[in-house]
Amino acid sequence: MDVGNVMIYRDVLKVVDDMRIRQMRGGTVVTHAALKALRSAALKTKAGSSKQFLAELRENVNYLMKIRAASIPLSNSLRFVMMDVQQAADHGAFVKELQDVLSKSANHFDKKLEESIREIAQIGARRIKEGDVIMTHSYSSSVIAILKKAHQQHKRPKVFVTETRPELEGRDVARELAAEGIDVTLIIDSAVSHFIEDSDKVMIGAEAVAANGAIVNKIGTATIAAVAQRARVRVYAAASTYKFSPETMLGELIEIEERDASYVLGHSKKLSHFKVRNPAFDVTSAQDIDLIITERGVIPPQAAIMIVREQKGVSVS
Amino acid sequence: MRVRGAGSIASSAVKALQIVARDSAAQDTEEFVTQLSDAARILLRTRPTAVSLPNGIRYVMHRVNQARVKATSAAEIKLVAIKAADDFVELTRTAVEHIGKIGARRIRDGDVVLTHCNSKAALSVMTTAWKEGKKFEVYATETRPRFQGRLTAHALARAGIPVTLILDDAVRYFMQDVDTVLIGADAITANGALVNKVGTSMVALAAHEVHVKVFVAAESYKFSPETMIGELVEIEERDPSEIISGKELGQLGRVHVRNPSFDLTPPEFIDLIITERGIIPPLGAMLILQEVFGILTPEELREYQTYRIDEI
Repeated sequence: MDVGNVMIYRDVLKVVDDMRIRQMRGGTVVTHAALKALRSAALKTKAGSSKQFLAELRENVNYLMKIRAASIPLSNSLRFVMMDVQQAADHGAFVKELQDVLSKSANHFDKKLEESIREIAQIGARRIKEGDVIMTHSYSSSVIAILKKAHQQHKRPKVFVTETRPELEGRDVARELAAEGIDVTLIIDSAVSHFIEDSDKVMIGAEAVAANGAIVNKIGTATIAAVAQRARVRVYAAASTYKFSPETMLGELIEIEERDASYVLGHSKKLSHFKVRNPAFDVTSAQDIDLIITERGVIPPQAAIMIVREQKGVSVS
Repeated sequence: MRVRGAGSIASSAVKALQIVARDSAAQDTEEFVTQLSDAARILLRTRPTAVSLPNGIRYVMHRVNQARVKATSAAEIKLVAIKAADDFVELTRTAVEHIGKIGARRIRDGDVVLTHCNSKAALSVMTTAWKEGKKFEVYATETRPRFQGRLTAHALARAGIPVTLILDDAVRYFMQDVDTVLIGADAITANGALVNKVGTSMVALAAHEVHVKVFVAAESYKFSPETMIGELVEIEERDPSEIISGKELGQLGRVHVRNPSFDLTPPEFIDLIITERGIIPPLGAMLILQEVFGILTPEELREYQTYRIDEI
């Protein structure tokens, strides 16, 4: 497909379609898929020079970033890979070598992301006591890993899972946890307040963590955190350090994507005479979060700035 | 026959009670009261979970019981019963319209109103304000699991009011743009707490946190007198199939589903309650209870008690 003057790779278009149509769950899953698409697309490039190849890559990377602007692991991973490729190009590498660098760099990031989730599961599971009732919202690979780990440690967590309108990814969470033998109860998003008093902890993932410790996550998260705070129920956010957003340090706002009305209305056409707005994410302020569980340990949200500052390729200047 | 809506359920029951009173061949007041009480109990059983139905019965029976002391003949007390029933039916017929008129005064030009679920009283406020020429717009939540918010959006759009449908989860996201939250009530307790469609308490919390006013539109027969004697309002849980079909649930494996229909919003999140008798602060709920039902004895309260609420 020709987007403007530049070619967007077919594999990239396909993964973007998947993100949209097949409703890919969670930032981690999206990041893995995007890296894979970029990797295989780059192998098929017809670019004759490294300069042309780099230009192609940059366009494709920008395209991917725009599709899921709130997904920081996605943009961080793409930035990570692009830096490696750029560096190699600066040293005079040819297309063939650059493809190699890209492949290795993407694999490397993939592996680090996977490792981070294993680490988060270990660290997060320590926070779960035997018999805890945990409430969760939307699909988070990290939260699922923590709950599975706690269950393997015989802590018998019970879990309330919100269905998570409009895309209902809570059902996927329920299925994955139930398959492990975890006691799962599915509720509607509106019933959070009703069940918060039966819950010991709220555990959520994050699409992005801002420099001030605020968390961007699936719409509804901010409400759950606020309800939990009022009920003195602890709120834990599980997020690998790849989800921390360096741009927010420079004052950039994280853009909240609004999705199509059809997610909300289904395919009912006769409902089309009023407006629908469908923001996909919301922002939970740091004061409604007790802890962020990262692969490098547990931090208070106010310490997010430390993680952001340590990130590769970020400087305020 | 199926009768829906709190007002129509209550007024049907009261009309039935009126027929019993009119047709009574009782020789003295005691016999008449016994006949009427028996009928009242049967009527209560037809819809054991409604709040307005026992309120209608109470409204009539309380007036009958008060008249019974002074009444000298069955004919005299019969008239009291018939009149009380007429009054109640009239009340249910006009309450929503009155609420519309009173509530409309609270809507200002340029307001952004947010509503949850599908409340006749709240709709009446909005459509009345619109007819008065006020220009405002509305956010309506879709209201899972049964999407009553779509009905609200339809009704508002038909009236010409600009309306935007949003997810229940998006209430907090949009709250900063909102001036007034306007919701209906399934029941109001003696301390001014609101029992309404599940999700209402989170809407009210989100509003409260950013100093957005929360108005509740509620007919006086939605106030729950039995909470005065310490009764708790039990929240009914409905069938899981409202949330997920049996087939889809089967595909998830061993997953429980819980589906409470209502939740409780504390009075501190509510700025005022718009009734057909005027506007009251939530802590004025006791005033309404006393005005409408008089001072009910604990015996009267227990006799026509409700345990659960089951209305949309």
